[in-house]
Amino acid sequence: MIAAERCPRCARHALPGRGFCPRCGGPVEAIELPGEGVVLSAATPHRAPLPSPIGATPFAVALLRLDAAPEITVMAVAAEAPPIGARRRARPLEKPGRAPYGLDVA
Amino acid sequence: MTRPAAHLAGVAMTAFGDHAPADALALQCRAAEACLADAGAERGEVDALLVGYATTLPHVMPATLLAETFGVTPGFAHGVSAGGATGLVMVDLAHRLVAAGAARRVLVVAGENRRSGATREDVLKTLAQVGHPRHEVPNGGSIPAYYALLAARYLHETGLTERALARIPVLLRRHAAATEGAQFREPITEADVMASKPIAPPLKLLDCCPVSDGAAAVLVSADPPAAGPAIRIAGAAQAHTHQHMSEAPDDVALGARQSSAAAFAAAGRGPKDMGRLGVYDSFSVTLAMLLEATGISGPGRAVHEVAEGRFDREGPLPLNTHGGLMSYGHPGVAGGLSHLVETVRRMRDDDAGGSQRRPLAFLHGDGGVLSANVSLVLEGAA
Repeated sequence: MIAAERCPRCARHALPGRGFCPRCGGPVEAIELPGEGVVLSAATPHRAPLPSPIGATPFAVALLRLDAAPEITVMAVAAEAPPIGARRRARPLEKPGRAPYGLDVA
Repeated sequence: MTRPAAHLAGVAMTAFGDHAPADALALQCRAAEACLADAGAERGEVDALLVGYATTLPHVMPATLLAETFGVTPGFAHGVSAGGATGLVMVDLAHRLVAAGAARRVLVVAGENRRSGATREDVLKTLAQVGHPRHEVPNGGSIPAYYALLAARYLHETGLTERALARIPVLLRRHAAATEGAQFREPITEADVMASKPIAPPLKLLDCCPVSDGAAAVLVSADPPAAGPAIRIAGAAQAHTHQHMSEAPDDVALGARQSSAAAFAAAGRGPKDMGRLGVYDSFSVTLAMLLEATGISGPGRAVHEVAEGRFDREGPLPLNTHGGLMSYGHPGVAGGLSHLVETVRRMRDDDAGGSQRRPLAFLHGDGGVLSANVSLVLEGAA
């Protein structure tokens, strides 16, 4: 499950961290969403100056649009780049509510 | 009351490359001096100073610091930070200051020595800021990976091949080969681009701009220059749609669409009216996406128009004639100012040579991941 913030007034979702709705400024509820979604893009960097949970390159990063909240795009890390348009499920790999997010086949 | 027009009265830039041991401040002063000389202006005339951030000289007061070092005492001094868009954002700000009657001679300066002067810590710190600290950075990706994500999506949506994008670095290198001061001037072929080291496929080394030392400066003036054509800012606009990829709209280039449409509308012109172009080219894919989002090329058409010669130096719509960030170089904020410096120089040449080319230019700058967008339309009059 993916931790998110939801605005009860305008139903807008966001990844957690703001503590308020970016659309209307109102208070938000902490919720969890299913991590299933569609791969928007994927790439395999050959050099990574910053540490990655997968370890040394090559590893893939991908963008996943959540079915449950299309305004949320999750950036995730995977051993191999999934095809654009493929279905995957994102989940936090270490702590909930933050990267690194990993991808499983949905 | 008519708002004063904002003229590009002076432009200057250093060669881009390796300027060791010059530091950011020394490079900024070099460009500022050359700019005032180009404008025939004196230090005492400068009533506003805008200075872009320098990653090799982080400072809480970059404009006041340059004012002290260079020797001006402006009534308005402001450090500016908008990533790669900063150069043209400063020119937009200068134009708004002049139009509002708040300043008459705005000196805009940017420069740093990120090639010869950046420590590994500086580079890592800068890279770590590009992604969202909580939802992106811990995944391990960074700038090339993010642009590779844009490139993969662009190729998927347009059906273009990776090789088609290779035409862009080839064109820009050809332009740099003819330009004094360009960092890379050796011609390259599409095969060279395809064979270059993979950085984050589909992006290879030659799809990426280099890291350079360099500086650039522009004087935006309420008065036309004493000599040469009066080149004024006819339209300017910005759009800021997101900072991080996770928060970008589905149409990632939406901001570029918005800022360009607004700048054209303010100038009372359209993409088809332009005679010259300066468009941000951090990566081959960036340039293709921006040419299309700003309405210069139709969707998926930019690389075809490159192949057709539309953007050649002697073509119908010369683009980044100095070689762009890709081959003239990229010292940070000054990189985003270089396209404007080059465009003004070529518009002056057009005027002096009696060219038939329309004295209209479109410039576009981009910061973040198509996050911050700024568009300018320049119009010249004899």
